[in-house]
Amino acid sequence: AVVSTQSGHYGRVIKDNTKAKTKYLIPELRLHLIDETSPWYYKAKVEHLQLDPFWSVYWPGGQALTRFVMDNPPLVRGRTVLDVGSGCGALGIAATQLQSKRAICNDIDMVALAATALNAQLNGTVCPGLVCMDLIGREPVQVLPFNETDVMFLGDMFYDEDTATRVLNWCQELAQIGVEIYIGDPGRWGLEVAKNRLLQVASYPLQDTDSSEFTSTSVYQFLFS
Amino acid sequence: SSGINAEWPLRPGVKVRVRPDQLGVVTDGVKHSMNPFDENAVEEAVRMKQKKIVKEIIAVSCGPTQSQETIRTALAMGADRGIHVEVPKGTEADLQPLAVAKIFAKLIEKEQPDVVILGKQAIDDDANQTTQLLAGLVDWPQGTMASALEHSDGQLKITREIDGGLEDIKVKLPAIISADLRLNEPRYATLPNIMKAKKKKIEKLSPGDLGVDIAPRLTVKKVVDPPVRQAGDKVPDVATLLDKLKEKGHIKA
Repeated sequence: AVVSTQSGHYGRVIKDNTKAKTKYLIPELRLHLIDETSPWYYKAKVEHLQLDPFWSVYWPGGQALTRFVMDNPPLVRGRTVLDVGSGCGALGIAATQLQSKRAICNDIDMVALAATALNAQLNGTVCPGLVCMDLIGREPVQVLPFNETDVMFLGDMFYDEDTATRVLNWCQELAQIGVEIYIGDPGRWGLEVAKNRLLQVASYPLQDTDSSEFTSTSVYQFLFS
Repeated sequence: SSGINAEWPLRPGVKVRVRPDQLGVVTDGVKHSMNPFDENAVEEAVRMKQKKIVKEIIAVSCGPTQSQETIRTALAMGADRGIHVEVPKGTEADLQPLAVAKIFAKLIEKEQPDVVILGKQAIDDDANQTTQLLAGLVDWPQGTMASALEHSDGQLKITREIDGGLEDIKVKLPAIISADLRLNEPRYATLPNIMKAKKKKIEKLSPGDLGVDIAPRLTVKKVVDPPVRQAGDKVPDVATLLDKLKEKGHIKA
């Protein structure tokens, strides 16, 4: 209830500054994203938002995960799915479309969740569950409120050593209690921290100018040791 | 023994004021941003990476804490990672070209780059020395005041802007280049790239970590405003102009 009134409040800001677009890898979903025509495009800082609008860009790691899920529906069908660092919410929306039992989008930014609600609407999908908090490092029992997360996805979360280490340690705990974990990343330097724990299961070419430094993006399964 | 007359190139909106002690200019409350020639240098590095001449760009700055913002700007333009060599706040005015060159020489040893590119001069001191000193310290070829760069086979053909016009030289890599204004048009950082840049790695070092003594070797004796321009004479017509010029001996009577 809280998020839907706020999506009304943020809805204007989101719609005025983004366009409904699809990305090359995921032609199936339209999302509110920024491009050169956006008033925000050449700004260093967006005035009325507390946090940088990471949700207004569809990052390559997230794209890889959504493509992987869309190509492998059994991963989510009939299961409880959690997307940590959900951003624009594409993965949760895809999981819902593919008939997950329950799909939850988690982000620390309320505006990202508001954008997710709008993106679900744009795609004619029921909105996934929305959870606004930092779940990383939390006790498994708190993460699975929901108590039955079957599969967890993390896109673009290994962007620096410190964050990568936090995420890695947390994933290890969750994997220990049986959560299946997939990580999406174009190969950022933070991934080095986890290299012995990751098995690449998919790779896709990147075409966008957003990602000029990376030519491909991959999905890795987290290996529990 | 004689003072240094400082003629500061002004960027629109900033009025430079000489400090009361006449040992420098007032920097309190002055917004700092990337030196324009360094914008050209970063832009050229990004273009070299896009052309696959180089694989990775490291953006380096020596200065106080706020230099990190400038490194972030370079990251937003397309550099891959940064190195910030931090000096204590308030000492940045004492950081002279030779000290910076020595720091860069140590970083060259550490990172083993193929190309080092700098802005030709900083618009606070207009020294135009760091590139040349650095090349001397590491004994690498240099191409300064570059207004065009072409790469082929481990060599760079550089067009330099010199007093007499343009000069073309060829240098073998590794080499040190300094960028001039006409080298390129630096790109504006876009919000997606600025957000990306916040997640890129910046390594922090001190001059001590690199074993460099940055104490100044030059002492500023005096800084004064340039002399005030005298008002000119206005004349009503050409005939009067000619008379005045003859009177003052600028043309033959």
